[in-house]
Amino acid sequence: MRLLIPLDQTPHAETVLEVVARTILPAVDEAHLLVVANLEDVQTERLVPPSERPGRYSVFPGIFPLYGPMDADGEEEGAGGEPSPERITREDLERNVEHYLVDAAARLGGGVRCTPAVVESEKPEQAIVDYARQHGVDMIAMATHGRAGLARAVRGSVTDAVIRSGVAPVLVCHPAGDG
Amino acid sequence: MFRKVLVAVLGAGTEDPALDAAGDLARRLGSELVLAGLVPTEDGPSTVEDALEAERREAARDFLDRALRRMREQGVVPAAVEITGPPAESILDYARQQDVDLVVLASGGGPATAPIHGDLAARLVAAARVPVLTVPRAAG
Repeated sequence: MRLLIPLDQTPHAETVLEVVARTILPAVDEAHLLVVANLEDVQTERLVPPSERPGRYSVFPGIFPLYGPMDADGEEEGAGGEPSPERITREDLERNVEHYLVDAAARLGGGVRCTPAVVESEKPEQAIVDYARQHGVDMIAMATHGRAGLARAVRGSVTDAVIRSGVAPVLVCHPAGDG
Repeated sequence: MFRKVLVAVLGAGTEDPALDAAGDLARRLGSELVLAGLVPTEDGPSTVEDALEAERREAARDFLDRALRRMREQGVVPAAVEITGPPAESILDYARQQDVDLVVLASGGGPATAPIHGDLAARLVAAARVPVLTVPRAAG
């Protein structure tokens, strides 16, 4: 089975990796790890967070946060530090994503072939659906905020859009210990 | 590991892609498979079975019987349960009580099931704590 895991450097993406690793991994022959980025936006408007900024969950500028703003206990992007005014380059983004995807592949553990991918797009849901179609993906694993009773945490989300596209079965994972 | 996989049966055979997807996954992972026939009610299990509910129960049993046969033909021997009540809540209650590790169901349009089940997949995904696998009815 060919599994697609869209990732965005948030704890929600972390959840997906954990769930996949302890559940369906034996059925997975190949895992595509996909980051959707939008460098145009970065170059014109967004700022680099200070490199010494604490917390490993800061989303690198240019990477689409697929799962929306953090929950109250998570860290809002840009919070907790003064942004520096440097511009980032495509190389910065590629280096950051490369490290992230190597780390993500390690979290899945050995025994599964991982294919890292970065797609530049302004529409993350469309980028995920297009990627799945182009690569004949059998299943897509994604997260939701999934807070009990809050349908709006799912409705209108990137995950919801991918489910509705009908491109492939979607394994929806919920953050551990959330509710 | 997904030790126990529950399939919400929304159709009997080819019209319910969740059956094949769940059967395939259960075979690969060696999971126990449970097919759940749904008898939807809006206000929880009712004490008086009205004509509509009886009709729904009959339809659910028919779907379930045919789904069981289909799975057995594929070499999978699932258990079967009947779940009565508001569909999303009832499925999740059952999943909690029976330590289900994964819920599988069809998503997307389907004229045969839409009037009864509405967008059950979206409601389940929103409310579930357990992982949910949505399987699109029409190929993408």
